[in-house]
Amino acid sequence: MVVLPTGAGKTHVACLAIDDRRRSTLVLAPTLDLVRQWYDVLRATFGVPVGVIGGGDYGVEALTVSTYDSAYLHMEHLGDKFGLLVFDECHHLPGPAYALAARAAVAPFRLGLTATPERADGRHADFDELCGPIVYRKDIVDLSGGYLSSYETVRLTVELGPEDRLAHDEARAVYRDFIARNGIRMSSPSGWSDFIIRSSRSEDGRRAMTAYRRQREIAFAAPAKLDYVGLLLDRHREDRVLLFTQDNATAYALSRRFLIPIITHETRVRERSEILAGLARGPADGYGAVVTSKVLNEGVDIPAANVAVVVSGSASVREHVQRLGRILRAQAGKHALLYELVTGNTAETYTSARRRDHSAYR
Amino acid sequence: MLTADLVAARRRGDELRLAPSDDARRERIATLAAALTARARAEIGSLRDDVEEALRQTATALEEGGDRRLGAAVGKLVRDGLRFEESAGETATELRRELFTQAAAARLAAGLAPFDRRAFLDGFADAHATTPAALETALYADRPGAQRLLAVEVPAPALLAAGFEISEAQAVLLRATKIVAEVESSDAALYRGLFRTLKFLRLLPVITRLDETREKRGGYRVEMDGPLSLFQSGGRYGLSLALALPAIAACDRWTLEADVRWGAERRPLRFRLAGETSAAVATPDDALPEELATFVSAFERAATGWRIDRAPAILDLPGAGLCVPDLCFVRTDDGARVYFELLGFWSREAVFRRIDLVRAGLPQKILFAASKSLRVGESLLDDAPSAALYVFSRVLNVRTILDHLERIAPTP
Repeated sequence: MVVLPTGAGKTHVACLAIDDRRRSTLVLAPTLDLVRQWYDVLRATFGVPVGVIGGGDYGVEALTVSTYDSAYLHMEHLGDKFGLLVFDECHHLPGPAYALAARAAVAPFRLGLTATPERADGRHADFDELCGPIVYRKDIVDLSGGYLSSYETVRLTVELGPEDRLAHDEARAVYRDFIARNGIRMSSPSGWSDFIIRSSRSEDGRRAMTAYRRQREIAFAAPAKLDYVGLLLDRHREDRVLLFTQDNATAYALSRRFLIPIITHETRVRERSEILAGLARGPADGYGAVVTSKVLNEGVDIPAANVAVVVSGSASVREHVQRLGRILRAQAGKHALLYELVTGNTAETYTSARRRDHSAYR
Repeated sequence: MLTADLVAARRRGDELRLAPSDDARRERIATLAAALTARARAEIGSLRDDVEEALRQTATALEEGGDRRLGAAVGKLVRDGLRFEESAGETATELRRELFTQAAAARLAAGLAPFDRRAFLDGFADAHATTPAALETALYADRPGAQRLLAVEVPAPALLAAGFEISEAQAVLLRATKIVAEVESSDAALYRGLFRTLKFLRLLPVITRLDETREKRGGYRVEMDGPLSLFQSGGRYGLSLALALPAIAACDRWTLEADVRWGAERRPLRFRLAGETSAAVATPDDALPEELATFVSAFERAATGWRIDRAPAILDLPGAGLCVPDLCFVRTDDGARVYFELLGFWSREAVFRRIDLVRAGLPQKILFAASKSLRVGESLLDDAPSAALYVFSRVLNVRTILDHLERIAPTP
């Protein structure tokens, strides 16, 4: 397994491995966007027909690219056809279905590629069996300023207005009271699922769940935070800015308020391609900023982007590192900036601290 | 239609079983359906987002202390019957493209001054002879959540409850790799209706007479691929398969066995279902799938010397199986007949089964058409004097089919 940050050349490493081993190769990727990117790279690199499995295609060639989902469905037909497996974004691999696909294949040569091997569920221990141990690792800090652009991260804390503070604290008290009375420890691995189960069993619990959502909504989309987004967009009017949110509602609110395009799972493929092409052209004849919730977290190549604003997000280290990775692809003279907006004295302060627990943020 | 996660099914050994359906459960389903349908009717004219929220709240209130999955499942069937306005599609996409591009340029041109949203929108609206408020509404009018509820076309609660088990079975079949149904009916027209329905849904069944494979009684055995056994279009195929179930259930007596892959680990299990007539399902005798209807229309416009019989006889080769052609071409000069079956793009295996039927001695002249994506060659039937295989890339070509017909048909 090779661990390299986004933009550091994982695809190139795979092409070298394919050329070195000279075996029939199946490349597995988590999304159709990535399957298309791999198809283009393999065609251009090796100049031979490349098979595609997934998204309505089923073509098997000596070099084939597939989604994990399709490979899993067809592994009984594919398992004996390839000598080398390349697992892109291989942190997905230890899931039960995908792992089965890896086990059902006979390929003696395996290459896993990821920027973020650690999994919250601890299943990264399965990597050794599925695709082998980590043989090479470089993190963002090792490559910044060379193979990757140099970067800064800026954490900005905003405060809630008096009314929002009152509403937030009231909702949070309802939620905290419920988990205290029910002896739920949210810091334990089963804390969240305990809360889901118990909150569904009573009216009291459902009120607690509603209150939990409410206090998060207030923290994630605090008016002061959205005002700050306006300041950042004006400040970086000549740059290419990616705005990330935790939920679609906030993403749509930002799109409407600042009149910038949005990409969500609802966005059709053609419009999505047009938006990304517009961002690459820049604000003079395209777009200066794009807002998205989670669909651009991973994999999609946006070399022109140089500013990221994390308006809201989960506590996932992987998500936060992947979001930073979107703006780090090296270009001449590029210096990337990641802003993180956090609402002070809310649970978001703790969420932010957890997701920054990575060398890239130290 | 239900999805697999909404089905109350349990594993017993190697078998997958649905939750037992008794009168109390059916009554509960009918009560849920009545309440949710009434709530939906009260929301006619509301946005989809609001309708969804209203139904969710109603289901939550009704589910107090009850079976939450059952509530969610009934809610899904009720939502399937809601008709929303059409999406504003291209208009909204075009508006966003123009407005956001100009907004980016305006922000850039503002220099050090803050971007003035109101002034920009006023100017944009003036230039497009509209108002800022209308622009705000139109900007995301194509979002599904922004569509208004026009009508509620949900079956009556008692009907929905009566058909609930079939709905659950439909969801199970979405995870099938193989389905075998045995059907019996005293009315030959029901068989014909079933076979035509299967064809209309573009399924490719292998049909054999039961009395030829088993001594006991008449009827037919219908064998079909499951969505998980196919190389592509699994979703659409699964939907067609699910729609076929009511046609099977319309027979006097029927049983169904399916090999399914169930749960997150896709464990192989056997699913069985049986029943007697529930409700008749009508498919017009001459109804054709869209791509075939398009071809027929083009063929009939051309001067070919052939006419098309849209409801040809079922071809039975005792001991080998049945073939249910889609069409029969009849030469106007001498009445020579060539049957035609579209094998589409779902199952390569189905093509080989038809070839086996021809080799077993099917006496009628027949032309099969298979999509290029199935990776079969026309040469498979080169040595068959009375049959041919036409491999098409996107659409059925009138001229090519005519060439095949003239080659297969007996010389006048």
